[in-house]
Amino acid sequence: MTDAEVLLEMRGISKTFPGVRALDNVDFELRRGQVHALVGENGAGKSTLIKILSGVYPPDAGEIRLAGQQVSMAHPSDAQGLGISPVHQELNLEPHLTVAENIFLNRQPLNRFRLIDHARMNREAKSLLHGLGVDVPPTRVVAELSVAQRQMVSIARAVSMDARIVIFDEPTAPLTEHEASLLFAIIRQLKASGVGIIYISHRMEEVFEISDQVTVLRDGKYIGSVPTREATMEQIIQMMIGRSVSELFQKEAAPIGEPILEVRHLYQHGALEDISFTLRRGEILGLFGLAGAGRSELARAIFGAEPYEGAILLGGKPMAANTPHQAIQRGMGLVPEDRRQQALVASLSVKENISLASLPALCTAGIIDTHAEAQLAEEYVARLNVRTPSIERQVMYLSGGNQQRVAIAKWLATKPKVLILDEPTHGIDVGAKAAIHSLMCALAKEGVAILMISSDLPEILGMSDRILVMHRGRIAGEFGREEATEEKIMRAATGEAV
Amino acid sequence: MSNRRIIPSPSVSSASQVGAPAGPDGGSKLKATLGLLRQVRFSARDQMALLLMIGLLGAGSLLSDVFLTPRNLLNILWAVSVLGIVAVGQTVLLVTGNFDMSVSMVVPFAGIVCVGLQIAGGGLWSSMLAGLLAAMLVGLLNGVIVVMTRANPFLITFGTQTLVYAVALILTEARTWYATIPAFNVLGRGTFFGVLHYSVAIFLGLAILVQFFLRRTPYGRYLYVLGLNEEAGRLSGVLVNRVKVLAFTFCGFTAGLAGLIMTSRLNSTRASGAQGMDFDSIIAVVLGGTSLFGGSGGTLRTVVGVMVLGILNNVMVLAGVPYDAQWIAKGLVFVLVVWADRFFRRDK
Repeated sequence: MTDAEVLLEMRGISKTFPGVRALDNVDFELRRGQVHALVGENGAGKSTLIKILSGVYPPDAGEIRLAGQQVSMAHPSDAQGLGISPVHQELNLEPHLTVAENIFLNRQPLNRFRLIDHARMNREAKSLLHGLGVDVPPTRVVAELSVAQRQMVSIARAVSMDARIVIFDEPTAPLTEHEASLLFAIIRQLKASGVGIIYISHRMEEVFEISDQVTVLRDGKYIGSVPTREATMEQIIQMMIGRSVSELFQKEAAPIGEPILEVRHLYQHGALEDISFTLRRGEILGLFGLAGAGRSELARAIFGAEPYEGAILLGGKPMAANTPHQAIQRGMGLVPEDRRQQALVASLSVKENISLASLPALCTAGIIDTHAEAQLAEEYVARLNVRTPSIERQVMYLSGGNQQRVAIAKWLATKPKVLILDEPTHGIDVGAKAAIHSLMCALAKEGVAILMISSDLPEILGMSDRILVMHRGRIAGEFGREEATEEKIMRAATGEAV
Repeated sequence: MSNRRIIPSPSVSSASQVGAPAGPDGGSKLKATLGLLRQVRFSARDQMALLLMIGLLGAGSLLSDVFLTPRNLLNILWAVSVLGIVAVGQTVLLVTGNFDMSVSMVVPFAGIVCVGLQIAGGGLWSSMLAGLLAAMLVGLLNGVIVVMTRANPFLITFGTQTLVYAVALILTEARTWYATIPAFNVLGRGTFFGVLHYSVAIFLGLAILVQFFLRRTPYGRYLYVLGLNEEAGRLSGVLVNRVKVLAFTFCGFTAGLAGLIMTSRLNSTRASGAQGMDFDSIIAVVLGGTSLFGGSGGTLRTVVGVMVLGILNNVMVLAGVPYDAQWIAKGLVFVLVVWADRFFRRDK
């Protein structure tokens, strides 16, 4: 393997986080002047691989060779020193500094008094930006720039550091089509100068437009790598989703009743475009989409946690005030994806978390009836089989699966009509997953309408009566339980016309 | 090191250093004792202020025979009751992770409004009510600004502090104002049976009442949730902005009440009459064990915290520490308390 054209070799990379095998013996190879797309479903391990490559965490096993030399990186600055430059989604620029100051951060040219030579710095930044075909004044403060311009500054910084490898992680997500085409021009320019480019994207059309090689990861494993010219979109999607059938879930049949939640022409700037759908009593409506498709934004808008335009009707009557408080009073519940930050108050007890949304109902004359509160907590701990030594235990000491049960219990205690579950089984073990699925079936039988957001295709296919697929803020497809297949859903989710 | 790893529980692992227990029976006994010891250690850390108070009481009794008499202790309570009432309101805010630095100027301001109305010919009750309302209005303003700007509450209330001070200075033309209604004195100087001052009763009564409110009402619970995880609270239907504004308004109310008592006690008020009460009240609250980071504590703890400050003062006077040197002690206490709060809370 002394091919001079091979810039980067990653061999047998493995990484385990508590409870998750994020990467399992993954190989990756990047050549000089190559645009190499890295694709896979959410949680396939793309980000972990990139973070290992950029020195954010060390691999548990495996080796990294740069131009044939084995390297080890303990810190992102080590990776930078080796010429590896990530261009992040949340760009790591200092918003209050100027464009030139950002490009030369920590490497500012100095004059003979050892002070920063601003004139020279601005001059060099200008020629650098000019070389990339970017028209941004080097003296502008970064905070005033558009997202696209910031991206360009970030790229300019990478170029100025003589980057040999530039990593793009979903670079076009915040860009307009025109801005994206400018970005592609720059990527082609970098490529022509011999830089190796790793390109992560959910958008198949982009992958086929820009990349030379596609590597597919799934569930932390290396699935395969093919030259883009020889691959078809079907083939890549097949590689992304193929999975054993043993993990499939089956929803038990429940009678589906009258419409309860109606969403009409919902818009949210930059996130949601003309979303309309109806949810019925006893129905589980699956909502699928790749990262950034707008699913969580939709859930939060329906629940009143984010602003929107359009109409939401619950039980035929429109939601008046746009607040979670009102949504809860009208009979809605939302289990957010981020358990620690949004769903639970980690240092309060199981009891206090379960009762949090039902406190007014537990009061006599404005005083919390502690006996009733404890009873309520005991009831739902038993019903959801929460494993905790006592209801007084702080939820931060419970396992992920048990925390999720507490988060769901909080809403069951309010007797909701509509329950929105955002990634309800994300990051929890198989046993807890099955328990939550059977709980959802039981709720549907009781007539609760469930909107289930999930990135887990087997879960979506197994649990949903009906499936909505989102792509770039729009509903890109709707499938009945019988007609839905992994392929159809993935095609809709990647923006390929259905 | 390696053989400690296989021992399951931490209490047993410390037992292994003492020596292996004889049998299963002796082992469980030792385990229970160690468990109890750990509990005591845990409570000791949790009730630092109480231990400090007991220690100071011991030190005081060595210094003077009259120190541990009920009369002296009641005197200390009397001396700290104005600060204590402010600290009760400050506790409610600290529980939510907020602060009110404006109290040091709101306290005299309430007195100025009250006395000003008396000078203008207002009645006893209406003048007192006006003083309270003025203070609550400042609290409301603090809350609304903090909610609307999402800016640092410490700095926002620092700003309103200056604002209130300026208004008070202009109103009084920087002079001391004297109350004109003699009956007004009763609030600050009156006692139950010549023993318990009204102000002490108000302080203790308020602390108990607010403690109950914090622990047993939905709004009380929401205050803690606000301090721990505002977003989770909002997504659980807590009207976070309303709760926050109410907390600030309540803090304004306690500052107003304290201002009336202070003015009544002195029979006068001036714009800078409660300088230092901003930090003093926060330090008393944190000393009592309510975290600067929000989400924990209560007003009964604050009573202990306020008492520690009062006793410390009293002990230093008895020990003949010069006035200026007392400030050194105060500064040291401040630094220690903030450090201890960080040390004990952040490791969670």
